[in-house]
Order: sequence, then structure tokens, then C-alpha cells
Amino acid sequence: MRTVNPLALGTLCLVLGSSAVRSSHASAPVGASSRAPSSEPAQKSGAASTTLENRAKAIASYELFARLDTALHVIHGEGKIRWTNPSEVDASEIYLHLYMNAFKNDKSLFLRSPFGAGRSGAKATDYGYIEVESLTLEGTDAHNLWKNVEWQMKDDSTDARVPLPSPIAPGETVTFEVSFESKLPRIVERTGYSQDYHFVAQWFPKLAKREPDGTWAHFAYNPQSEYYADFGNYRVTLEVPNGFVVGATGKQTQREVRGNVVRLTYSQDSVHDFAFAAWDQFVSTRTTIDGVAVELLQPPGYERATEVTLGALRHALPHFSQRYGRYPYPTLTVVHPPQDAENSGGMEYPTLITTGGPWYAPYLGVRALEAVTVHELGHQWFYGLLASNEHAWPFLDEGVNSYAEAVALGEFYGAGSLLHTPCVDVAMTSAVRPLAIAFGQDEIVGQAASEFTSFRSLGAHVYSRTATILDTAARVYGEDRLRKALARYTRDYRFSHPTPTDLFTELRAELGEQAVENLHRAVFERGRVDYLVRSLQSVQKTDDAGVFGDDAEVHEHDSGAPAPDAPWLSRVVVARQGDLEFPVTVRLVFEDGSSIDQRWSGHGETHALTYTSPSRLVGAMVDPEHRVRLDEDLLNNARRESSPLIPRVWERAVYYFGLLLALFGP
Amino acid sequence: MSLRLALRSRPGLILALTAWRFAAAWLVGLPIVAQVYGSGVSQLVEGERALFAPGGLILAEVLSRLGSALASALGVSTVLFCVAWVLSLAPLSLFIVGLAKPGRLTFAEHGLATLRSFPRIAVIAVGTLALQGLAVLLGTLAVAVLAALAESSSQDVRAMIIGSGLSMTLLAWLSLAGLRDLGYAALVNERVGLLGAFGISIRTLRRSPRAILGAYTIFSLSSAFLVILNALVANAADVSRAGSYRIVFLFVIHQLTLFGLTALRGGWLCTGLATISSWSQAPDGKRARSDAMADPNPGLAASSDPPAPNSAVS
Repeated sequence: MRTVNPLALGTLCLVLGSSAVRSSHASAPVGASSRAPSSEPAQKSGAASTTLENRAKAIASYELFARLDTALHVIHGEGKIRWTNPSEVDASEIYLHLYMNAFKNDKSLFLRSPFGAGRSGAKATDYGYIEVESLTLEGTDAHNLWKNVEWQMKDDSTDARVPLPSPIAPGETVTFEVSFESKLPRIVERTGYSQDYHFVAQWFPKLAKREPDGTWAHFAYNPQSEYYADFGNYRVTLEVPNGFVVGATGKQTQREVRGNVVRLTYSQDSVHDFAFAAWDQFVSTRTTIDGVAVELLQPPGYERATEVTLGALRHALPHFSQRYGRYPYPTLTVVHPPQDAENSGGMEYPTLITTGGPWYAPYLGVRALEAVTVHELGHQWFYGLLASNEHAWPFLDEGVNSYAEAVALGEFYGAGSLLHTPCVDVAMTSAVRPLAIAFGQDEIVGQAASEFTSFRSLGAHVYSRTATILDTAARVYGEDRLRKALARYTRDYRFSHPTPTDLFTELRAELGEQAVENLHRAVFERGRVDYLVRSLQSVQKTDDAGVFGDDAEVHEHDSGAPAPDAPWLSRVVVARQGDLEFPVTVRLVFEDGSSIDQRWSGHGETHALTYTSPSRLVGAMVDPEHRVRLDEDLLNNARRESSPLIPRVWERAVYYFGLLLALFGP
Repeated sequence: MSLRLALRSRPGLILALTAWRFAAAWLVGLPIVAQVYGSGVSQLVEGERALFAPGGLILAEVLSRLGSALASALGVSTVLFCVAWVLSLAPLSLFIVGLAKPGRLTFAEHGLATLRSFPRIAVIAVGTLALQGLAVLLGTLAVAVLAALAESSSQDVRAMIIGSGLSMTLLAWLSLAGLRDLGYAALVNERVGLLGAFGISIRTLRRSPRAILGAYTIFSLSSAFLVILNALVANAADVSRAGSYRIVFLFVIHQLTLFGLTALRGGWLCTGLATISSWSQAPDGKRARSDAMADPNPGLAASSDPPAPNSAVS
């Protein structure tokens, strides 16, 4: 397992990698036919501005044939991998990820934890594996390179090194021929089968990503981690039993029935993975949203889910396109797994997402299905098009995407973006915040997925805390400014595998240095903050009392009682605990009902405010609009001279318990 | 018999039972209110209004901060609710006995009659609760089975099946409650034992199904209507906005609703008392039948002079 220092890697990539990658991408676009973007904001000047909007340079392209045996849940595959060395260093080896082997046995890195380390925490009941039968280099004396394979981790066969007979020069393109067999597991997580339902991901030998400096970003399949790969063009022909409905990455370009089987060919350029679902019971719904051909595949009887999912997509697809650059692919497939295969739901692949959630949620006002759908769709940008290293910096995809999801849900569904009932509305941001705060400083947000102590911790830090950090940035520094920063980031680094440094560069340009310092601290240094009101005083002004004058003329003043209309002098001390310094408003509330707002830059640990007013100060509150969502305790942000009662709560409690007694009493 | 009769004959009792429930609810809710108060939410500039604000930011904050403390408070409230449930038997007995007795009652008469009926009322109440618990258990099991059977059906069908199952469970609960109330009436009116009260309830139901079911349906639907109307009004009041008058308004509306529910229960009990006493007045059942049939809407038919609920003992 690789240990990654994210900050160091971020800096390294900035110096060595990002600009080189971006400029190299500009040189040789490969064949995708896609629509020109409309009404896009102006591109950033410099190297990034030359990044193509809708095409990536094809580094690793796959042309595969796969026959799915739905009875044995086995895939027989063969095909070609066309690879161009994108680095400036000769390649004398390649690394292949064989992630289906994560489900091979209980010793694999994915399954070895006795506690269930992954997202689902499920253990395997029917194992899966991938066996490479042969790997040859086209145009050379065909001997099986696979014979020299070296596994990179003991007892785990998901990360393979294959020495090459001769080095591949920078920019040189070679073609590997491969044949393999993949046996699908009963679904543990993301991939596998359940009865006749098959969700097939990580099913073919896939090249690791080669970085510009010549290193390979290869890693064993960690249960907490996701993926990282080069872009390429995929042409995949699937053979499935006739009657099976298939949804896959890309556009179906050919369909050929051969007796009892059907061969379906899918093509898509500028993507970095290929997944598909096959089931003979799928109900397909097709529509066009924002110019994209959308196909929704669901179990029979999911009419309500269809309505909800399509409703979410109709909002979200144009929303994301408008904010983060136009969706460049002609198709989008959404798979809703059946209930017994729900662990394959809530996942993203290029042009293919899986959704899910409790079937009864829509009937209870819980927007679970909407949230999952919007989240996975957001990944088409924060994973699909940006393709950052999900293993090293999961916050770049899951975290930023969680924020994008909350914004999208908030825009469509308002205050009830997570829960909408006649009694109460709860927004996604409100529900996410307590998780982000509860785990607070346990771990560093911006660390590698494999470094987190548990998936729950990863969830709290990477998903919730990153979303809360960005939510705070939007509320404190301006939603428009953050929106512009993210718009530039997603457009300029499209197909460019951005690093945290790239994100922070864009944030710095829009939000300023101090903001980025705060955000950087929050992401990489366990930064925290808690604002509170320490003390509150208010006295009415009186004449100065005491002995005044010199020897010649001494006089004594007694202050006496203050005049009824004498002004009030008030003092409030507010404090900031933690190392994040957000500028905040301090609201002073006076006895006559008036209030004034004063600004505090957030510098220093404490800040004293004095104010003269015609009325007595009775309360003060830091950040009354709750902009600093990272604030660890929102309830200590205010202080009043006295503690008012809570008649609303009391009234409700008396009514509800009275009602219970009336309805269910003797 | 009618709501008007109940209101006319024993308004003080209706008020007293409502007041008891108010006091009991106040005590039951106290641990939770105290926890919320201790959270410091009232210190915020907008005070406790923040708890009701759209988006639920402070609500989520309070829930997550109080966490186990709130769960403990809820546990204490549940225990207090059970205690209140048991203690409610006393005012309920006074209420039922009061409805069954005509004219002015001295405290001693009322007290003695209540004391006589109380043990049997308590047993009926507890026995019914046990049966209701069993009904809920069976209903839940039935819903689980139906949900499993309907797994391959469409989501709307599944929701409808489960919703129907839950409705049936609720109906079973309500039916038992209705039967229990008839039992109360029989017990107070006829001075019979538990089995006798049960027998009278069943016989009354069999003899005057339209009158009894009609009255109970009207009572149940009116109660549901009142609660739903109240919820709509409460929502419109929007307590997340400033203004003490909103709280006063809501308090009045809520307590009027609870008073209304008690009055409706009183009306229904009066109907039960009257029907049972009518039958007991007519050994062959013919006169009573004609009375009951002549009053198809006994629960709310207040325009004509209703028969006295307590004719059997007057």
C-alpha cells in the first residue's frame, strides 16, 4: 500500500505535472464527435486555456470483446489496449489493475479486514476474480508478457507489474493484445451479480495511470479507495443472451442478434473507464435532457422512482452543465439496481451512474433518491471529466462533489432539500454539518483514501467536512466568487487530472489569499474554529467621580445616579478558538429592540467591542447569519443578559403530549 | 346523544379533563423542554425561533449536540407518559360517571360513584390497551408479510398495500377503543361486572349497529378533521417568525383542539350511554330499536331533544 503525503504530492504535481499534462493534451486531440459547448464563460488565459473543452488526449484506449455468461456469471474477454507513453521518460514496464481480484478471497486487501472495511461493509459470499490468459505486445515476437507478472502486494492480486521486453519511448504508442476471464462475485460492493442482475465494473485488465514524470500511479484496490486512470477511447462489444437489457458507458453503435445472443457495441471517446449493467428484467425509460440522450434502467414497478429520478436529472443536468462546463457526451445511462443488489447502487462511471435509496423514501418526504442521483451525476464532472486521483485525494471528487450536490439540491428543492414534510424542512447542508463537526479533527481531510481509519471516518471528513468547508467559503467570501472559482477549475482542468494545488490556485484567484490560507488549513491541517461570546456588559454613563484638580483648586465630584436619558456604554468580548480565521459579523441587540452589526476580521483570539447607545445592550451574537458552517458550536455564538424562556418549544411539547394522551390515553 | 348534550350537561368535566391532560402533558414534556432550554438555544439572537426556521440548521445542531441527553430525556418522558396514562384513569372515571349522572351532583355522590366504578374502568382500560398492543403487533406482522409479498409489485402498489395495512391496524386500534368506551358506558350505567359490560357492549353493537357505528365514525372523523385542521393552522402561523402573538394564537388553537377532542369523546360516550340505557329500558328491545333507528346521526343530532343519557338510573 502506498503512503501519500497529499500536500507534498500536490506541490510536486504543480511543479512537475499539471502544466505539462495540460499542454500535452492540447497537442493531439483524438476523434470524439461531440457538440460544441454553448454559452461557456471565457477560458482562462495561459496553458490551461488551450485545454480542449470536449476531448481528451487518448492515452489508454481499449477495444474489447466480452461475452457475458449470465448463468455462470463469467465474462470471457479479449481485445486490444492501445497505449501512448504520456511521460517524458521511457517506460520499461507497465502496471495493470485487476480489481476484480479484490473479491478473490478473504486475504485480498479489499476483503481482509475482519470488520468489513468498505462502503457496504459486506463480506463476500460468492467470490470473484479475473485471470489474464495472455498479454502480448503487438508487432513484437508474440510471447506472453503475463508470465513475468509481479504482484505488488502480498496476498493481493489487484496491482500487477509487467516488465516490457523493450522500453517504450515518450510519446510512442504501442498496442497490447489481451485475453482474460472474469468471474463476477455476488455483489459485495459496486460490482457483481444478484440472481440474473449483473453490474459489471472493474472487469478488464486496466492500465494504471502514468504520470508526466514517469512514475506509475498504481495501487492495490483498497476498500476505501476509488480510481485513477488515463483518458482514452473505448470500443466495447458485449455479447449477452437475447432478452437481456444492457446499459453501458458510451453510445450503442451496433446491435446484432445471433441466435440466442445479441452483440452490442458501445463507443465513447475521452473517458477513463467502462462499466455496464445487464438484466433481463430492466424497464427502460428514454428521454432527452439538455440535448443528452438519457436512458433510465430500473426494476419493474419503479414508476414513482422514474418520476423522481427524471425530475432530479431534469434539474441537475443543465445545472451542472451551466456551472461546471457543458456535459460533453451524447448519452447518460442511469441504472437503479433491484433491492437485493443495492450495494451496486450509488456509484459513478463515465456516462453511466447507478442510483438507489430506500424505495419508500419518496413517500415519506425524504429526498434520498434525488440526493443519490444528483450526487452521482455530479461525479460526471468531479471524477469523470476532471479525473483527479481519487486514491490520493478523495476530497477532490467526493468532497467537492458533495458540495456541488448540496448546492444543486438546494437550488431545486429549497430549504427541504433533504427532508420535506408538512411539519419540518431540513436542508442537505444542515444534515451534513453535524457529521462534519462530530469527526472534526480526527483526521486530515486531504489525505489518501487508504489513510482513513474507517470508511465512516472517510465519509465524515471527505464528504461532509469538505462540503461544509466549501459551504463556509461560499457564505463567508461570496457564493458568486466560489462559483466562479469552481467554474474555472472545472473548465480549465477538464480532462487534466487536477491536483489540490490546481483547485487552490483557482480558489486563490477568486477568493483571495486569506481565504485560501483558511481553506488550506481546513483541508490539510485539521483546521477548526469555534466562535463564541465571552462576556456582555452594559452600563449607563455617569459623570466621572473622584477627587480632581491640583493643590490650588481641589474639588470632589460624586457621580450620583445617571440621568434617565444618559447613554449606555456597552462592551462585548467575542472569542475565536481554533486556527481558522473567518471574518464575521457581531450583532449587538439592545433593550429597545434595535440592533447593529459590526464586523470582526477574525484575527486574534479575542475581540472587544465597545459601543455607546441610547438603549441598554441585552444580547450579542457572533455570526448571526450562520455563515461559518465550520463553527464547531453554533449554540455558544450568542449571549444574552438573561436567559429567555422557550415558549414555542414548551407550547409544542404540551400540545403534542396532550394530543397523545387524548388519542392514545385510556 | 350529542356533542351538544355533553357540552351542555357537563362542560366543567370536559374542561377539567382537558386541564388534567394539559397538566400531565406539561409534566411529561418537561424533561425534553428542559434539555432544549439547557442547550443554550434561547441565547441566540433569534432565540428558540431558530429551531423552527426552514432548513433545520439549528434544529440539527441541537439534536446532534444534545444527542444522548435528549434520548435520556425522551426515555424519562416516556416513563412519565405511562404514569400519566395510568393516572388519567381517575379523571376519566370522574368524567364518565359525571356524564352518566343527571343533574347536579354533590362531590360526595360523584366521588363515591367514581370510586365504585374506578377499578373496573381501570381493568377495562388496561385490558383494552393490551388488546390494542396485540392488534398493533399483528398489524405490524401483517404489514411486514404484505410488504414482502408485494416486493415485486410496483412501488405505488406496495405503498398502497402497506398504507392499507397500517390503516387497518389503526382501524383495529380505534375499534377496540370504541368497544372499550361502550364497555365504560355499560359498566357505569348498568353496574355490571367486566364480563357483563363486555356482553352489553357487544349486544348494543349488534342491536344498534347503525347508531353506534355512525356515532363512532362521526366522532373519529371529527377528531381527525380537528387535528388536521389544527396542523394546517399551526403551519400557517409559522412560529419561526417573530411575534409573541403567534405563540399565544397557537397555544389557544392547540388547547381548543384538545378541548374539542375531549368534548367529542364526551359526545360519543353520551351516545353510548343513551343507547345502552335505551336497550336496558326495553326488555324486548323494540322501543329502543325504534329510538335508535329514528336517530341515524345520534352523535351530532342536537336539534331535537335527545333522550337523557342516564335514563336508566334517573
